Amino acid sequence: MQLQFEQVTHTYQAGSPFQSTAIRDVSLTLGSGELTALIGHTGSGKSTLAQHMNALLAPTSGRVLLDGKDINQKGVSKKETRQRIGLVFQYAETQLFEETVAKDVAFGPKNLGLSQAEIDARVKEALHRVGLPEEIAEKSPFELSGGQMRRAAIAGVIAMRPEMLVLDEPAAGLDPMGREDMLALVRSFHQAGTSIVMISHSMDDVARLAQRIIVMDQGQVALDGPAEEVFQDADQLNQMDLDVPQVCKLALRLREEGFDFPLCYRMEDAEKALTALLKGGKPHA
Amino acid sequence: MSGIIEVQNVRYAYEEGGALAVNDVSFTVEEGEFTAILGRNGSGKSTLAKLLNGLYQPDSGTVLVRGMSTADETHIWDIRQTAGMVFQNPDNQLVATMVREDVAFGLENTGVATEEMPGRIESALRAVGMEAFMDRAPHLLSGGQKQRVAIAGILAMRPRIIIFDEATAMLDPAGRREVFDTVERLNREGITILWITHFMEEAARCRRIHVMDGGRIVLSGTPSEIFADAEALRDLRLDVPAMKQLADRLQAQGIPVSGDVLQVEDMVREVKRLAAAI
Repeated sequence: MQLQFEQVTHTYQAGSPFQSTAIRDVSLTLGSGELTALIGHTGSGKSTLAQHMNALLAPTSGRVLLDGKDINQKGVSKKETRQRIGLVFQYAETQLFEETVAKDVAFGPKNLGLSQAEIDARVKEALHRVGLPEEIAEKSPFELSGGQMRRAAIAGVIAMRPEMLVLDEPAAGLDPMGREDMLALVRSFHQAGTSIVMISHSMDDVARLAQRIIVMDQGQVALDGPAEEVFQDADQLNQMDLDVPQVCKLALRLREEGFDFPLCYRMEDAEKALTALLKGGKPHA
Repeated sequence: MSGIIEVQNVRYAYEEGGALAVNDVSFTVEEGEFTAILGRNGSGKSTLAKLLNGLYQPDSGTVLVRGMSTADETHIWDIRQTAGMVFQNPDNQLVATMVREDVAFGLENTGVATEEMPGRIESALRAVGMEAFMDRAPHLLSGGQKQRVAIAGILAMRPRIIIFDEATAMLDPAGRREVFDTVERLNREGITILWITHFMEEAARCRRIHVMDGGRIVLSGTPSEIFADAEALRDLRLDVPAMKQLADRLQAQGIPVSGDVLQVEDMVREVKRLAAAI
């Protein structure tokens, strides 16, 4: 599947004294099984962009096309769009509301008009895919730990069997291993064939996970490319008030100090380069 | 010797007879220290924080803030004025329609003379670099700016201690940097800081670390002591800073990098030292 943005602009409260343009003239293509990170500082427009991905917001101008079809056109089912493209909000656990985890996860599939047997099968499968034990299904979501609650909320979206999953800061507020587990979960969805768009503030997470990085700044796409290319532009990222991965910071500092050091961003690459440098390689300092 | 905060054998459960959220915790915070508290989700960090400024009272044991017991109701306002607290969500902490009013809010409850207020508000906002925003609406500020205003509200009360409960968790990298730099500066000016966090890079910049698990303090030490044992931390669902991970990997390759490497500048120093020796 392909999701295409064609010169999309969104202005909040257009025509009022409070009007503000959150995204301007954005064109890009998402999907095709990619794992994409969407980054940008608060107010850069990335959440507005995300909400256009499954028709929660409609463009003020421009079009969003899902496999060539305008998702905001009359007669195009929003329900179907939202089944195919699942959106997981930040702190998604705050949206749990049912008496049991199973009922919460079943909420979406039920709205699709599936048979009870199919719904049950999907709930079971979704809980399994997010790594929650089956016994949890009959518990109240509010008895779960914070990390489990977030997984239950994600299961509700997974149960729709979306082709693309948009996650807004899925690891926010989790402890380091919880973060690790969440990233592994996102990777597992991707490996199972789901296209992923992950909004994240953590450059270290992005460096480890993403194939492609889209950087939003002031409502526009400032950078868009493979991770290794985007992190080459560390200066520009800093100017946009973003961070670079710790490894990338080290590489930049070592280059400043006069070392001939590659501009890497992955731990493995820094290890290799440092091993070469410090095990008899000629330093240029 | 007694510290500015003395916690002795404190136990606390949310329900009578229920699981202990804080279980037999004892520690001392010296005046002027910058202490991090780490621990997995649900380890008892936030509960402990709320016990430190009297939002909760211990079921048993004592919490002394500058010698005042949080169990003694006559001291409760003194304690809260001495030990201020900044929470995770900036949007839940700001109440007024103008930044200056927000900073004034706490003061109005403490009986500070009206003519003294404008001076206090201004100097508090200056201390967090937000004086230019005095007449702005708080809801139009960025997350980092909101947290700095929340800090100013505490500073106006002239506290000796500020407790931060994951105050940067909801901020973007620029906001986190902004807030952490502000807090480091306040500490240099003498304010005692307790910093609860999930970010190992932040903990590495503190002077002491306590690690909580299951309501107990299970590890205490300097950052280099705490981060020396990566395996132990991973068992506690924590981690070590990226530069420490890299140092451990290099050591495994037989490169004699110092075990004290926690931050980028530490690694730069080590690379220069080792390269010079080749």
